[in-house]
Amino acid sequence: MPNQNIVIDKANKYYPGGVHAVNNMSMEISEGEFVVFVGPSGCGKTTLLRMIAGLEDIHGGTISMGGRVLNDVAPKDRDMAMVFQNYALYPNMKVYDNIAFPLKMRKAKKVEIDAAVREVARKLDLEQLLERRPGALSGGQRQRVALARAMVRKPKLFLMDEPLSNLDAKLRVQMRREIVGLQSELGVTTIYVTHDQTEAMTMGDRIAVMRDGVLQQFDTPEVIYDRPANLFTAGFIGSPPMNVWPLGEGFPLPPGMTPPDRATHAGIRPEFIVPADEPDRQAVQMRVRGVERTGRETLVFLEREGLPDLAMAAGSDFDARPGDSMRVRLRTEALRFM
Amino acid sequence: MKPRGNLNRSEPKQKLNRHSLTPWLFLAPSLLFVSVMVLLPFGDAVRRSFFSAMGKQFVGFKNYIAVFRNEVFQLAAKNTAKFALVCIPLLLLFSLVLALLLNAVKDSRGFYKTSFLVPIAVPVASMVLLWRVVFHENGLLNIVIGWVGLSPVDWLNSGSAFGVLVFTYLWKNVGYDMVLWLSGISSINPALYESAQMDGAGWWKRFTRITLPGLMPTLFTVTVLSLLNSFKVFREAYLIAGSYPHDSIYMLQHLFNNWFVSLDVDKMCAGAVLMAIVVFLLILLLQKVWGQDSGQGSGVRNKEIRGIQERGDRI
Amino acid sequence: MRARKWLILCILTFVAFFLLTPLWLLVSGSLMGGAEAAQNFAPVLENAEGSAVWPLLPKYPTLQPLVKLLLDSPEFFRMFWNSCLQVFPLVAGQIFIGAPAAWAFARYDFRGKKALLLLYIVLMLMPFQVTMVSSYLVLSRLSLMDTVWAIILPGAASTFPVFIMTRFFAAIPASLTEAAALDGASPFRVFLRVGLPMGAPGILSAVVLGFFEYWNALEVPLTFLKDPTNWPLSLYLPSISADNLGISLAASVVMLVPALLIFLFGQKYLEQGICAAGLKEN
Repeated sequence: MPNQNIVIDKANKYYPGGVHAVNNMSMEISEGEFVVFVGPSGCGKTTLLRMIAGLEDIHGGTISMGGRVLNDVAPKDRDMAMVFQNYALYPNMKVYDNIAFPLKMRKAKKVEIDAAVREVARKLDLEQLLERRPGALSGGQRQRVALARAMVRKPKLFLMDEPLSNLDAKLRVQMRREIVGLQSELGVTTIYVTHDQTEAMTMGDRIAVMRDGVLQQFDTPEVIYDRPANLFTAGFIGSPPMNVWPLGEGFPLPPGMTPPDRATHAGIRPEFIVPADEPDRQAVQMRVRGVERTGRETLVFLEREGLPDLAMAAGSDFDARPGDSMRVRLRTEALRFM
Repeated sequence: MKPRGNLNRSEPKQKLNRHSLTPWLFLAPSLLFVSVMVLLPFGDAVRRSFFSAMGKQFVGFKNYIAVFRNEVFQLAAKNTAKFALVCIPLLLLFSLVLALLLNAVKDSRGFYKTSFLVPIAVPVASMVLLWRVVFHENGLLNIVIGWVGLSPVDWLNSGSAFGVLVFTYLWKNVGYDMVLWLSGISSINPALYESAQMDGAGWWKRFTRITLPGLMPTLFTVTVLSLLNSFKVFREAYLIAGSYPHDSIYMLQHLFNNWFVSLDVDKMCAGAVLMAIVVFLLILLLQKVWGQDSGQGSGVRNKEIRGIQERGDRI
Repeated sequence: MRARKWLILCILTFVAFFLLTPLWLLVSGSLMGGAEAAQNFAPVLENAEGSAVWPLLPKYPTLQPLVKLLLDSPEFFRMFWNSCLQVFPLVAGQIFIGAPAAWAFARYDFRGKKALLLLYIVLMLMPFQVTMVSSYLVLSRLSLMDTVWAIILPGAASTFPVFIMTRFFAAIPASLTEAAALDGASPFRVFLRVGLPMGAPGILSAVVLGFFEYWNALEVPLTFLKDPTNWPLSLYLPSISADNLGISLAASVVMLVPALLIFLFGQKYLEQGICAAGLKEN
C-alpha cells in the first residue's frame, strides 16, 4: 500500500463577501502523524479541516491523500472520521447505535459490527453506557462516545474540531492525554484543530500555526517554541509570550552576534531572563510593574523607560513586589531573531 | 485580493454542482403533485377566464366584467371584506389580552392555555345542533336576553347572523392567535423588564415601553395570518346557516359554490384569478413585513425549534 | 399585587369556562335520551311554543343514543369510515410527499430555491376559492370527482406541511448531518436516519394541524362529493334533521372524540406548528 500522506497544495477558500479564509495553504502530513492546527478564531483552521473532510468545497488548489486528489470525492468516500466540537451524537440513537452507525452505513455484517463496537467501547471505557442515550451522558462521556464513533471503523484519518473545548479544565487535561495515547496506539493520522496553544504544544507531533488564512509556521512543538519563524508565532505560542523588540532598539546585541539578513526583530523567552548580581555588567536595572504567581513559577513583569517591557519567569520562591527595582540579565545564547 | 470576477471563475460551487441533483430528487414528488394538482390547472383556469363557458370563444375581460357586475359577487365580496375588518381587530385584541393575562400568571398556565386552544380541535360540524339551539328564536340566548328585559331576536335569520358569525369565529380562533402572541412575548429579553423595574418603571410603563414595541413584529405576522385565515370563515357560516344563509353572512365561498353547482366555469375561473391576485397582493405585503427587519425576525420564536437546535448542539 | 393576580385568574377562569361550555353542553346533550332531547329542543326544531332548554346535566342520563349509534346505525358508520378514509391517507400523503421536499428546502442550496420557496408560501396561503377551480379541472379530467381521491389528491398537494416541516428540519444542527455524511451515509440515508428522527416534532406538528384541518373539512367535500354516500361526518352532521335527534347528538360527540384525543396528545405539537407557520421565512 502506498503511503497515505496528506498533501495540501495551494488550497484556497473564499467566503461570500470576499473573505479569503484559506490562502494558498500548502503542507504535507505524513502517515501516522498527529498534527495540530492552531491559531486565533477566524484564522482558517476549521475551514481547512472541513475542506479536508469534504464538508467545504475547495476554491483552487488540491488536497490529496495517498496521491489521490480528494477535491471531487464525496465526504463519505474519503474514509475519514471527524469528531465535532459539539460531538454531533445522534440524540435519537442509543450509544451503541451511535457507535455502530458508521459501520451500518458501510453495510458491515451484524456480528462484525457488534464485535467492533464492543472492542472500541472497552477501549474507551463505555461498556456500561451502551444502552443509554446521549442526552443521559455527561460531557466527558459524550466526548468518549464521539471518539468511539470516529475510531470504530478504523479510518485512514481522524479529524478533530476543537473536541475538548466544551469540557471543564480538569477533564480537558485528562482527555488530552487519552486522545494522544489512543492515537499513538492506533497509529492513525490525526489532524486536530484548537485555539488553545497548550493543547497544541502538548498533543501535536507537529503544529501548524495559522493566521488570517495563511500558514505561519509548520513544525514540531520544540522548534515552534524555540525558534518561532515570525512575530506572530512568537507572540501566539507560549504564555506569557516571547519578549520581542525591533532590532536596533531596546537591548543591544552582545558583541559578535549578528542577526540574519532579513530579521527585523529580536526576542527572548521569559525563562531566559534571570536576576543578575551587582557586578554583572550586562545587567540592566528595571522596575517591577507586576507579579503573577502561578504556584509553579513566578512571573515578573518589568519596565524601564527606553526599553521594551519584559516578562520574566522565575522560580516559585522568587520574591518581588510591584515597585521594586531589580537587576536582570538576558541569557544571550537564547536570543532569537525573526 | 483577487478581483471578484476572477474569483467567481476560480470558485465554481463544486460541491453544489456535484450534488445538484440531490435536492431535486427530494423535491420531485412534491413538485409533481403541486404541478399536476395546482399549477397546471391554474394556468388552464387563467386561460379559461378569458374564454366563454364552453371554452371555445375568446371573450377578453368579459367574464371579469360579468363577475364585477354580478350583484351577488358584490354582496359576497363586501361581506368578506366587512368580516375581515370587523373580526380581525377583535380577534387580535382578545387574543393579545388573553396572552398577556396568561403571561402574567406563571402557575396553572397550562390549564388555561389548553382551554383556550381546545376550540381549534372541535370540528365545526359537531357544534351545529348546539348552535341552533342557542341562537334560535326560541333558543337559549334569547332566554338570557329575556332576563335583562330585551325582546328576543331571530339570531340566525337576521342581520345579527353576522354577529353570531363573528362570535363563532372568535371562539374557534382566539387560541391560535394567542399562541402566536405568547411566543412573541417570550422572545422579549426578560433582562429588559428587570432593568426597567430597577429603574422604577411601573407595569404600565413596562407594557407600553417594552412589551408593545417588542410585539410589533408579531403584530404584523398575526395580522396577515389572521387575514388569510379569515377566508376560511365559510365553515363557520355553513355551520350557522347551511348553504343558503342570511344575506349578511353570504361569503365568497357561498358564491363559488353556487357557481360550481350551476357549472359557471368561466365565472369561477375569473373569480379565482381575481382572488389569487388579491391574496397575492396581501402576501407581498406579508413578504415585505417579514423581510423588513432581518435582525429581529418576526418576533415569533418557536421553543421546540430552538429545542432541536439545543438538543443537537449539546449532545 | 395579590389582588391583581386574583383578578387575572378570575378573568381567565371566566373565559375558559365560556370557551369550554359548548363542549360540556355537547357531552351532556349526548347523554340525553331521545325523548328528553326531543322535548327540550322542540321549540327550536319544531317551532313549538316556549323556549328550548339545554340542561347542564340531563334529567335522565342514558347511554342509549350512543349505544344505538354505535350498534344500530350503519349510515353513521359509513360516514365515520368515510371521514377516516379521507383524512388519514390525506395526511399521510402530505407527510410522505412533503417531508422530502421540506428536507431539500431546509438542508440544500440549489438554483431557484428562493423562488420555489416563495411559490410554496404563496400556494400555502391561497384560499380554497382560488384552488377549487384548478382542482375541479384536474379531477374532472381524471374522472375522479365524487371519489375519495377528489379529497385526498388536492389535499396531498398542499404546501402548508412542507413549510412547517422545513422550519423544523432547518433547525437540526449542521454537524449532525455532516457527521452522518462522513460516517458514510448517503443523502437519502442522512434524511432517513438523522432528518426524520430529529425533525419528528415538525412532522407531528404537520400531522396534528393537518388532522384538525381535514377532520373539520367542509368546502372540499361539499363541492367535490355529490353522492351523499361518500360524505364525511363533517358534512353529514350539519344536514341532519330533527327526527334522529338523539343519535345526531351522540354522533357529534363521537366525531369530537378523535379530535380531542389528538388534541390531548398533540397540544404541544399544535402550538409548535402554529408558531412555525408564523416564523420569519429566510
